[in-house]
Amino acid sequence: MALTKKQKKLLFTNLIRSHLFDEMVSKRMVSGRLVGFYHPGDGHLAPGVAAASFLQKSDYLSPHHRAHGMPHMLSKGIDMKYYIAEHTGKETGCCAGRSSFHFCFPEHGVFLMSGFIGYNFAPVVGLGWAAKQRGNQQVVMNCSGDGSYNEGRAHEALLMAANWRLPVVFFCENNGMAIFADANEMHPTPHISSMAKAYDMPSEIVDGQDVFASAEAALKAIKRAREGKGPTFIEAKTIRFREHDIGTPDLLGSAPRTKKQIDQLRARDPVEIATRHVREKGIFSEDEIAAIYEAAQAEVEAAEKFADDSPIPDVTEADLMKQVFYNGADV
Amino acid sequence: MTRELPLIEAIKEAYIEEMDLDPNVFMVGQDIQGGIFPHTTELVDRFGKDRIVDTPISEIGMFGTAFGSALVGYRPIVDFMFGGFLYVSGSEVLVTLGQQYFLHGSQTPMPMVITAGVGSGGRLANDHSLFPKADIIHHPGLKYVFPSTPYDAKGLMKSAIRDDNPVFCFWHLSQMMDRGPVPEEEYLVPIGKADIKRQGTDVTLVANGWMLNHAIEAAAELDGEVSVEILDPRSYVPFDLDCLLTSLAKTNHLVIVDEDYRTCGFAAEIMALVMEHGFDLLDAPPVRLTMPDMPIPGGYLEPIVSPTPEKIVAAVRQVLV
Amino acid sequence: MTHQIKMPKVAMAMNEGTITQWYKSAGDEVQKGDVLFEIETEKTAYEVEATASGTLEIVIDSGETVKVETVVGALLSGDEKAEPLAVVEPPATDEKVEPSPTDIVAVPVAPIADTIDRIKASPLAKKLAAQNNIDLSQVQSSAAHGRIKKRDIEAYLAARPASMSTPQGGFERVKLTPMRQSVSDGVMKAVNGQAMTPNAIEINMENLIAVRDSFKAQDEAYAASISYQSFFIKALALAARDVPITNARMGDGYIDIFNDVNVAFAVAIDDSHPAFSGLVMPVIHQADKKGVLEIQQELMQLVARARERRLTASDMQDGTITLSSTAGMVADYMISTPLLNQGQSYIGQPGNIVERPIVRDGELTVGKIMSFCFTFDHRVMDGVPACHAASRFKDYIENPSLMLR
Repeated sequence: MALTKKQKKLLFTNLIRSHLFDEMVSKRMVSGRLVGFYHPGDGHLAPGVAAASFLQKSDYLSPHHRAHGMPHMLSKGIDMKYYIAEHTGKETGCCAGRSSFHFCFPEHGVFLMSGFIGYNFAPVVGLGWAAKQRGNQQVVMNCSGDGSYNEGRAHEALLMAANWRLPVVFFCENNGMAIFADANEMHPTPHISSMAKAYDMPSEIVDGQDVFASAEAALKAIKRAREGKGPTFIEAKTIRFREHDIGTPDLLGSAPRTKKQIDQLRARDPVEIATRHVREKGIFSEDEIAAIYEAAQAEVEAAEKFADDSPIPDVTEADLMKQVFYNGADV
Repeated sequence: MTRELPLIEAIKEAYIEEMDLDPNVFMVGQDIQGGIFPHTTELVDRFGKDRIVDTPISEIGMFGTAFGSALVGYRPIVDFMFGGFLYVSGSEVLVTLGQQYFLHGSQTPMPMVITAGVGSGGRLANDHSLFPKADIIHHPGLKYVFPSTPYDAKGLMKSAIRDDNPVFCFWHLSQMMDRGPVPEEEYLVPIGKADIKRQGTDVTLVANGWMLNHAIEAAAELDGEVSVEILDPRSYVPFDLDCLLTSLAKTNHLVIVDEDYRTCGFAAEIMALVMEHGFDLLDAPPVRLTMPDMPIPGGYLEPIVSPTPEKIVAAVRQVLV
Repeated sequence: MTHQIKMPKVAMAMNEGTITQWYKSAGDEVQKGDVLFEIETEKTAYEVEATASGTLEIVIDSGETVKVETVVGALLSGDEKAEPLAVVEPPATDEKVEPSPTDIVAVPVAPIADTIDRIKASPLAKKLAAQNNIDLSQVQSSAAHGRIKKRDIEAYLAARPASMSTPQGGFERVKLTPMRQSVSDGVMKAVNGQAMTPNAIEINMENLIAVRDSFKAQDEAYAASISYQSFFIKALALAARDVPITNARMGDGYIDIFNDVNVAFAVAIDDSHPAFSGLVMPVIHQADKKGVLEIQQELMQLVARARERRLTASDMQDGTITLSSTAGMVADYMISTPLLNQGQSYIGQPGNIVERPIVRDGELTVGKIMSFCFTFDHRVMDGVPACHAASRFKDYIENPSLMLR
């Protein structure tokens, strides 16, 4: 189904915002102004924007660690300043400064992050089951990488979602690499989505560098889910331009990726592709594009300022112990 | 001849020496060919992809590769990268592995080493700061050692690889780059023997891993006021109780620092052993410093809940009151 | 405004970094976002941007390797042109966290209240006390928590009299026999636990001697040589009957006044080791209700069993008052201060019968006199009933017919 101009505008805006947030967080990581670590999203930004831009607030979203889910979350309308505050260890962060880089925005249907690859799969089964029980046409958008589909959990989730016809979209963002390992060497078939056939689940392969193409596929799958027709598997072929996480060398297998290799990959920059499209199709003027950048930059700076002005939590171990279990009363 | 090596390089030397010696030794993990941590970098160039094996992100399958091959003559080293990831393959690692030899009539020894980086200090929150210990020690059939210095790291890893049983030999993420003397000549550190890292007369301070660094700092701070004896267990299963009791006979006071959650941690086990075997040696109730019973927070909260040199100093003073 | 530039920790396996190249020079005006320098860690290189604007100060030159968080330079803005910054090594740990009292959860947060009055001592201290025969109730704890530790035992030993040191002539150390240990323990407990008040009176034995002689002159079957001891036991039992408070024991806030008068009496026997003397205390139960002959017969049996070491538990239990004796211990007259038995409040200890000058009807004459020393627990009773009982004892001995009831 073709996207409207309005939809394309939204996607482009979210893509630029994602790009600037990713750059800011990467820089802060390199200059030691971030707690924890960061998995940069440069090159791998479009799938998250496509997956989340058209979700309702009541839909559930499970992002992953690439760009720390910022493209996904900001596209769903979540205020990133609370995530930046969390990532700088401040008490105003979405996890009370407790988690270093985990996200949790229950009001917006984003519930957890974990260091275990494929952590999404068990919870989304439950979220999908609850959505189906309640019959509110909620959708579960599950975004994770190629590596996550190596996990046994992924297969169990696919099986159960298909078996129970859960309203889950399995959005696989395949950037071809684990940390260093080549995804092709870690999978018996060239396409991750071929496993959907085993569960009688419809699947689609899209160009993950093209935010518009990816969004079309996402919208189709979301509609299917809302109509009670069950899960869909989308495989977005995307690219990671930088290292897996800042501080880890950028290798493919055991050899460093060369500048030549990266330059070739960068030829398919999602921001450039989307910009070309909105210019050529007359969706945005140059001034409008400049304004989008300006607004995004202001948003990024405001988020940083909020984080930097916020205090570090002032708590004792005894205070924290009281928070381990829910006690019923307001804690 | 000794030279100074970082702990992680000392471990790498152990791998290289043992893999040179025995062609059945191989490594299996995720992204070990590239080497996320320095102990496996460039090993694939020396030993090839069939001995430095990268798997998909399939912990159960990865562990299964090690388990199955160990049944039939291979001696795998399985690297979980971060210790907490072993729980993804929980039942295989904790139950199936430990019971294999015993339950099947003691016919099939399982020569395996399980390794990973563990521990806190990086402000990475619970999943990346886990230090699997008490639950592994608790499950029968599994040996567990932990080196705290480069010397012990190389020696224990070699012993672990040579042992015909499953041996867990993790290393601490915050000690990865700590440098220390490592002999050039071949040597082994025996499994089951503790080490007195500092002689003293007033208090026995049990510590290992990154906590050993803290303990050494605390002991230096107390120099002149309290003579602290630091005991590094090095081995948890089997545990060198004799060394501990000998130390306690001298000092009569016990402080245990254990980087693990509090309830049913190994500190509790040491206290139980001392009550059973060394009750009359105690001149005061033992003191344990552990992580609290809470998921390890990240951000700036990690040091609030962790044992620190200051807390150790306070605990030593308290036990002597 | 001075904005410090520090060596960042970019990677997990990074404790230090090397500045490979400064892209700006000292004194340059730098804008926020300009690339300042390149750092190299074990495997990777990174460009670090300025996060503020200002004039650049360089502290660490290119080619140098420093620990993460070390100040490598600064950006100065405003009129301030501060002196060159010194090289500041980062603190060893991120934050010095002062442990709050709740951080050290080691010592029990809320010790269970001891309802029983118990002496707290470490296992080591208990062992040392046992080895040195120290009564822990005699030892003071030197700490607020009240637990006796090894150092307290050592202090106690150091303060002991010099008799515990090694004399020139050396000594033979004899391990305590069970009997000696038992007497030693019992006596210590009594001395520590009871308010012992020793007293003495004298008794005129003339009439009792006459009664005893008249028994001897009778049919041998009856006589059976009734010892003075039996008369004393009977007399004490009757005195206890007359003054019930002497037949009692002290508890924690209460006194048990016994219904029966069971007189324990001391028998000297051999101990298993020749170095020690031995002592046992068999009991005549309900002595106030028994005739003197009956008491004598029981006494004989008990003494015989004592000497053969065949005393049973029931022979020795339930004593409520004690009759001891120093007769024969010395050749002549003696005043003694008997110690109470545990669980009792009164002990009477007659001595030898000796000849002494007495006054009778204003005339000086020779009398047969015996000392009667008695000790009572002043917690249980005061002087009046204690002496009253002693007076009754004296009455019974000086007027034996009163014992006929």
